[in-house]
Amino acid sequence: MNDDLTTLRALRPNTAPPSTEARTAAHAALMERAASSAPVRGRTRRLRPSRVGLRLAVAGGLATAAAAVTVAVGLGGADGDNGPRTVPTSGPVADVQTVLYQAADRTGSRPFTPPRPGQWTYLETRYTSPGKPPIGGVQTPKSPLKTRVDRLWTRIDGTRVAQYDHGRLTVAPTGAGAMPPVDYGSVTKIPLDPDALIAWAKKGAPAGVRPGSPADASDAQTFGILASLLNDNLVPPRQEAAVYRAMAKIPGVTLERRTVDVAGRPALAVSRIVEGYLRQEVLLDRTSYAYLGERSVVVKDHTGDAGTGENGTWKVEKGTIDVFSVRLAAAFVDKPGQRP
Amino acid sequence: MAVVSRMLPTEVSDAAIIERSVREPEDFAAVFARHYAPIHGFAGQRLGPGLADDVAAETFLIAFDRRDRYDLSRADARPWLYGIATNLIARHRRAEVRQYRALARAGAEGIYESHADRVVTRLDAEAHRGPLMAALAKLRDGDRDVLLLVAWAELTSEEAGEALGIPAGTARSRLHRARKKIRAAMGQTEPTSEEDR
Repeated sequence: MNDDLTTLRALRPNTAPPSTEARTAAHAALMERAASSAPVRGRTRRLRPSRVGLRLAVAGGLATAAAAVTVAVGLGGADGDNGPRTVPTSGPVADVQTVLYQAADRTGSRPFTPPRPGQWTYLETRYTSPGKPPIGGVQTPKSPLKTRVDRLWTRIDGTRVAQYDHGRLTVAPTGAGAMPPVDYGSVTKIPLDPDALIAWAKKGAPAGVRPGSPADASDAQTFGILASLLNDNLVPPRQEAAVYRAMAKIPGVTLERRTVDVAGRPALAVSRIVEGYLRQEVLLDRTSYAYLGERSVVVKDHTGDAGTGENGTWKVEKGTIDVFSVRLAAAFVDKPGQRP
Repeated sequence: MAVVSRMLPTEVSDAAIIERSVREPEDFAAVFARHYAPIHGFAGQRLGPGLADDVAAETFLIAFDRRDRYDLSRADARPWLYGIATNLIARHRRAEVRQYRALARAGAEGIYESHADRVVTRLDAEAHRGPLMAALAKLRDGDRDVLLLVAWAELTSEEAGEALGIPAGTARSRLHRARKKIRAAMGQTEPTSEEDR
């Protein structure tokens, strides 16, 4: 079955995505026009507290103070929300797509030396979190945080993984078929087309019921898988750029600027609400867009079974940092135990 | 230290944003965020990369200027935006026709996406590329506008009519005529009318 429209569609010329320069220029021209047509107001247009749909307070020393210009733009997504229909765009341009496409362009053109056969990927990550949720307990933004540094070597063919266990380097075989993959070889094979990459992530998403509408849960899983792909791998530039372009197409993804201090580097956060109560943030260097890590923040009080399956529940309060992961090093090395 | 950020319902119709942007002009940025890339892509498909930047940028400036006249009963702004873009593309008819002729001649490599699930269709389609692109170049402008709004922008024929400001019946008959020519170029029989969208 190959009708004329299908054929014509298949022959649609493949155009490159708009360049960052073109997009930025077009956006700036529009904003300039908008600014010059703005009605005169008695007060600054930068502050419109009455339009805030929902306020989230992120407390704790991990967050830096932000000017009141943090903005987020909702994209298309699940329907049926009765919340206030506001689209704040005050302050700096609230365009998560622009940032993601810029990140993709920047990343895609970064120099990269692929590993040689037999090499290993070394990832050093610092995780900070309040630890395992206590049954019957409550975690709050004031709960003491635990920090550990994870040092992990994975053979690029994915056959072996190594880490220090009580001071001893232990090499073990890996389980196959992780989703997202955690080995370089598999990561190089992900689709580079954003739609195909989204389809790939959806296909591999773990089954299971998540809160929210099915479409929303599916979008959240897609975002989560792509975010984990970045966190768990040294992703080559083309694939990393594809991840950002795919994220730009996931409904509900928002941008927060100047919210996070990642080891002294100001990061912007590309984020999405996942599992109904967490905001999962991919942290990118504000200037270079380099990948810095990720963070999950509790955005509303939540009660759960802590994933233990046991009876009893735990509570976690809004503002708690669920986990904050900072990439300290990522490189290809010749053998496990070796550091760059 | 507290950081206050603003979260939104994920689904706000284009119409709601446009309505709001009449009073809050900067809110129009959300329309741009949603639709800039597809509009740019459509312009690029029809005119090549050189003109796409200008057409896409201009589309949103014109749309912005006309936002107070937007028909708020239409939740989805795509037909409106594609209509504006189509009118801008019309200023470059010769460039457009040149583009299809070039595509009719060009080698397949590098021109078409290679995404796996489309490969089979594409291989099939490839056989028709030359004649089909040549046929596109020869279509009446108005017929081609409807055809490509349907085939490439993926609007319905009714939405294409809306985009171009023509009655739905006119859009349907233009689409039918264009498809007949495309079919002929593919060496097939003419389309049945119930397939016309």
